[in-house]
Amino acid sequence: MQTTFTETQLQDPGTKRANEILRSCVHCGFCTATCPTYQVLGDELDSPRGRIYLIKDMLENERVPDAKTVKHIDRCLSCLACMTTCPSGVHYMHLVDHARAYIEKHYDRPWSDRALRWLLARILPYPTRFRLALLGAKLARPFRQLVPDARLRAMLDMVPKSIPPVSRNDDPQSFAPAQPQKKRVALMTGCAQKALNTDINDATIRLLTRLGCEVVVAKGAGCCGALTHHMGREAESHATAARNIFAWAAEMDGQGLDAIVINTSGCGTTVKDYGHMFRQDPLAADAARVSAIAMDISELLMQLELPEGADNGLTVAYHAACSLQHGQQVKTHPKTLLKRAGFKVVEPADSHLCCGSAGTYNLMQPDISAQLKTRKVKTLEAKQPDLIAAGNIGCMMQIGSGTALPIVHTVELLDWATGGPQPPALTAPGKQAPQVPVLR
Amino acid sequence: MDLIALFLAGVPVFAVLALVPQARAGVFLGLAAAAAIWAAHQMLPPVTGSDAAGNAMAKGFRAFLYASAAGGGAAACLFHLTRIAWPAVGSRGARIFRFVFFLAVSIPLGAALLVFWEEVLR
Repeated sequence: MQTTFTETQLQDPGTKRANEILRSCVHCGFCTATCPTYQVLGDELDSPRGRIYLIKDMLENERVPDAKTVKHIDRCLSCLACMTTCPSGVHYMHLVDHARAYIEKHYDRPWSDRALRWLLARILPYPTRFRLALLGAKLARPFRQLVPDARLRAMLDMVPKSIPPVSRNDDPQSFAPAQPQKKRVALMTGCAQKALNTDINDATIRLLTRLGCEVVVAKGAGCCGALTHHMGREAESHATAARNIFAWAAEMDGQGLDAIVINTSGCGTTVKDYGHMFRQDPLAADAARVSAIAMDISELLMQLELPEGADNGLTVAYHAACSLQHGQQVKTHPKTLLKRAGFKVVEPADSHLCCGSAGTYNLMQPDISAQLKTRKVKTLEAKQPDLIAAGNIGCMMQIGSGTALPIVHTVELLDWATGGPQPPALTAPGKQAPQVPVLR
Repeated sequence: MDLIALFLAGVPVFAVLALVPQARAGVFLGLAAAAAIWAAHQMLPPVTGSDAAGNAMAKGFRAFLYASAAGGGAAACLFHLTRIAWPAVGSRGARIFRFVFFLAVSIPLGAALLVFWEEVLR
């Protein structure tokens, strides 16, 4: 794609990077075929190619974004299916992130938008606040019909029926391996996940220590910054990301780390991008070190000797989170591990498509998100599984709110199959528990 | 209902402590009540024990009940402090407004204390 940025404009590192990305696009339109919003809305401007044109126009002319441009960019899920599809290697993620930061700086959103985004940025990344907000939302849910804003109603709808108590396993500490140590890894315990589902980190710690890893929860590490990053709030996302970099770099310089393990794939995509996010920052070297050893839990488990399990008769529908399959290009590991542990793995027909969760997307764009959820649940249930597995808490909440099938994290199943307790979600009230127990 | 109780535990604590006639005694008693309830909250046992790397769930939602109640004590302390700072609030209406204001403050104050404790002090 031809661009006409001036030399002065290209002095800005963000614009320079945007220019490189824009010039790699050949307008072929393959991306439209796998863009969930284009499939739902059918508007070229709601496809990656359309958004690229809007972003190019906005950045080249240094114009104040108009409501139309903002609407179409806001509607992007950042699922990154387009990056998997693109034959030219357009790095859409960096482009849309830059566009969002530009919009945040130059566009004056309606007050309700600003208030909502401020609220989400102030609550979601902080587990205690989020937990209190969930409790408050449970109180407000009976009055949801009186709430005028569809987005606030969507928030009330997304509140889970049960909110787990705090798990002190998420506090800074070290867990010793249960057999001779093979690796020393830092576990990213996350933010929203600590309020929504404490079983995932617990299962991860059990599984990794059982397989010979010392698991460290580093002091000072917390939210990866993705939630605010995707809202264009660069200063906030960089501040939280910097705390993680300090925390993990200290561990790397201390007793050393073989890996930084992430069991929320949305966070994994962001942590792996710290090197880019901080490329112009004094923290660049440490950020690059952190990114270099960051890996999804499934990537680490492939390096460890997960015992083979006999066929346990349970059919698992594996939902591939966009951030894992498109953002990190980790496509086969979770399925390979589940099969090795003795599960029969099936996939929905539209496994490449987003479920509509996408961070805060299901709260900000509830209509499009609901359509994507309905479609995803239908294709997952069509496989008649005993349960659904995913590698991202956002997807689990989204799909779980639309199906009676139990939904668990991949790591919970692997923990169960190798000697851990049965995932609590399999026996939760209102869910159809699988009838066949796992054989160990 | 149980959820409502979680949020409103500070209200009766405040209502009782606000009746202390001496402002200085009220400040002391409010602070002492808040500190005592918070200390009790810290001594609550975990809900499901503490097996290594599994389900060391902290203190369940009882913890929040205690935090809410401590918020009532803290609100009473603030209420009495305003009595010391502005002893001349004369009209009955102004005094009722002050009482109602701090009664309302006692509801979210426990949550605010909990957030401060978890995010800043821990």
